[in-house]
Formats: sequence, C-alpha cells, structure tokens
Amino acid sequence: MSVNTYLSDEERLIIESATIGIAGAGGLGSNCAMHLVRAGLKRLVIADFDEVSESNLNRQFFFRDQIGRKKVDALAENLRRIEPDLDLALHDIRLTSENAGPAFEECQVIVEALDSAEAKSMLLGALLPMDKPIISASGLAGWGRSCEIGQRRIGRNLILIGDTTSDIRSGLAPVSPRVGIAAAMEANAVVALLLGLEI
Amino acid sequence: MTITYQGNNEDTEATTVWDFLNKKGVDVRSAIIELDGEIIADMSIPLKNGSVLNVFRIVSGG
Repeated sequence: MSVNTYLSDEERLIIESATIGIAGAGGLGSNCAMHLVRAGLKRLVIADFDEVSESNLNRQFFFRDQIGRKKVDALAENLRRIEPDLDLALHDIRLTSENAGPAFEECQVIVEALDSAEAKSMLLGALLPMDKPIISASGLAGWGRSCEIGQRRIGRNLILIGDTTSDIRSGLAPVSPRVGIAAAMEANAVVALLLGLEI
Repeated sequence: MTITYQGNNEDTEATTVWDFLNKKGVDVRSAIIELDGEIIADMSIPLKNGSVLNVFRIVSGG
C-alpha cells in the first residue's frame, strides 16, 4: 500500500521502482525527500555528512529532539514515520567530485540539495558527465517574490530551480517558505520526469 | 559576428566563450554555461556567428 493513494497502478509501478538520489539533507534535501516519500517514492539514496543543529530547525525537516544526530539518520527516521516501507541508502559522507558519482550511480534522477555555491558547482561538474537528469537549485534565500522562483531546463539533463540571484552571502536568510518552495519544486520535477509529464 | 547572449543579440569580436565572458566580467567558477543548447565546461570553445550563449548563476543557499 502506497502512502499516495492517488496513484494509478501504472504510476505506482513507475514511482515505486524508481531510485532517486538526494545530495544533501538540509533545507532543500530533507524537504524534497519528504515530498518524494509522500508522492510514493520508496527508494532514495541520501548523502550528507552533517549533524542536525538548532539553526536548521527554521527550515529543515527535523525536530528539536534530533539536534546532534546525523542528518541522514534523523531524516530516515522522519521519512519512515510517513512511510515505514522505504528502501533508503544512507551515505554519511561529505560529497566530493570523487565520491559523488559512485554514491549516486544506481539513481535515475539526482537532486542537488547542497548549500554553498562552490559545493553546488562541484557536484554539477561531477554528475553532469553521468548523463542522468539532475535537478538543482540556485537562488532561494529571503522572503517574498515567490513567483520569481522559476525553473528552466539547461542543456539536455539539468533542470535549475530558483531565481539564480537570492544568495545567502548577500545577507538574505535561508528561511522555510522560499526554501520549501524550491524543495517542493525539485520533488515535483522529479515525479514529472519519472511520469513523462511536462516539468 | 553576432551571437545571442542571455536572450539578446550582441555584436562581438570575441573568438571564444572565455574571451566573451571575460570581457563581460562573468565569474564562470559559480555559473552554468550553456552554448547552443549544451552545457559546456570547456571555455575555449570558439564562438560562431549565431551562437546562443546563456549563463546561469549558482548562488548559495539550501
């Protein structure tokens, strides 16, 4: 039984057999994973080296009693509260240009959900040659301007979500509404890709 | 020659992607470069008349 009872049998087959990679379990990754599980995805590969901290609770899918725990473990616990029957591959690693490819080799679609511009660029450089669809995000900090968080296809395999300008380094805070919008858009793009729908 | 950059036609004397973006002051280290519908990593690729070049900034936050 899927948590998403709105799927047709054909859609369920596609969704439940897909393996999706999520690079980062912070604001984007934890919320994107939550949306994917609610959509009916059962097989996720999640990579993150970090631990839950108090400053994460303003936007990330964690709870106060999980502070100090590894993000991949805390996220797995939370996702299994939505859907106990999950096949999760958890990598407690800092992603590098060397280990990113092997970590997500089995995935059909990979979600870039890292924080710094340098890490995002590194990951895209490592994963784009794999010729798999990648959903990335750039420009989601601050408040307001929801409709400026757009999405565009770049090249054959990259879908970029965000306004490409709202940078936390310019003093804008990473806060739940805009980060959540981008995370939901990343998840929506994954499911649309899997189902062959317009992104 | 004339290329399309960020959706606008521009006349340029630049011969390569690097040359063009360098003159524009674009920091390519945190950007995705798309040339004629393909993401490129090699900035030494020559531009040609009618090339379509797009730059997408990668900024921090997640």
